[in-house]
Amino acid sequence: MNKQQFLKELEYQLRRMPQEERDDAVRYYDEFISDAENEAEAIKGIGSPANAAANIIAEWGALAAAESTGETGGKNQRTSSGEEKKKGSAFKTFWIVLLAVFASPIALPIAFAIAAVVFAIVIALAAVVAVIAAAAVVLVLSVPVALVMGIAAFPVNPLSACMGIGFALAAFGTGVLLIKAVKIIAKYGFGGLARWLSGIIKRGGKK
Amino acid sequence: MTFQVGSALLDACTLAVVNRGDAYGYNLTRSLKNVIEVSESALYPVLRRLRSDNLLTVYDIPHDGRNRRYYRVTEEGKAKLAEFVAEWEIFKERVDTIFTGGEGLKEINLEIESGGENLLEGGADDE
Repeated sequence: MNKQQFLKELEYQLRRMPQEERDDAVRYYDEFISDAENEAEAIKGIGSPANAAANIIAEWGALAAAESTGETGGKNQRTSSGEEKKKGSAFKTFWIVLLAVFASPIALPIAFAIAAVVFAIVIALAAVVAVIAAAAVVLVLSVPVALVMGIAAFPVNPLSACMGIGFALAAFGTGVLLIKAVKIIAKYGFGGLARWLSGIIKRGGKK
Repeated sequence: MTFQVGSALLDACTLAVVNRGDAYGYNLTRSLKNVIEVSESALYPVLRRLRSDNLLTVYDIPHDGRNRRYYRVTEEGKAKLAEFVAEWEIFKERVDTIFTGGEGLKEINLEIESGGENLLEGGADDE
């Protein structure tokens, strides 16, 4: 890996950071490698761009978190620029911290936790879908039986027969509606989950 | 080296090296690596933090057809460094006391002994 490749990869790894921060870091490593007597050895010493980026993002996340909570890590009060950053940046801070978490070595346990939560949501959603689907199937299956019984009972007791046929038709309608509902839940529930997950992976994942 | 360099010590060493003379990223890393174990990729975040804490400031000097970024210790940084040095003295003395014995160690031993006696007495009361 030469200097250009290293810097390009580093810039890519830092793509979610603010432009200013990214440029500063890339510039530092550009200078660092240029100042070294041996370019290849300097790059080898730094390690992978992903590793360098992880260090940068982790530190940046800690800084941003400290700023948003008004804690500067020292006895000094924040400068005016720090105060400005503090306002309305809760969401941004959340992203930064999440990003830092994904980039840091503790990412694995967090990833497991997220996977567990996703698994639980999928199971819960699947259970809801299965219950509604089962109800729909039972309702629709009961329709022919109820209809036959209703028609058969007509000569004996026309009123009860009418009620039976009515119930059968109502069950059929409800069943069809439920099947429709299952389809919608499955489509938006699982589809939404998939979109949310792919968003997380694209934004937070290192690779 | 067996002993790990924590983030506070790394901050202190970085401030101390820059305080000896303004430095740029590469020679700063070289100087630090001569003394403590620090990886090349660990230093940029430290410099970034010290800058945002206003302990270091940067300026550019043209070199080889490009700009080289130098780091300088601010007044705040100097005060912080003095604080670090004072705390290091205390820390070093304590560790030395334990390692080599001496007056201080006797006091520590006495404290441990009296603490132990109190514990024993407390235990005897319970019986």
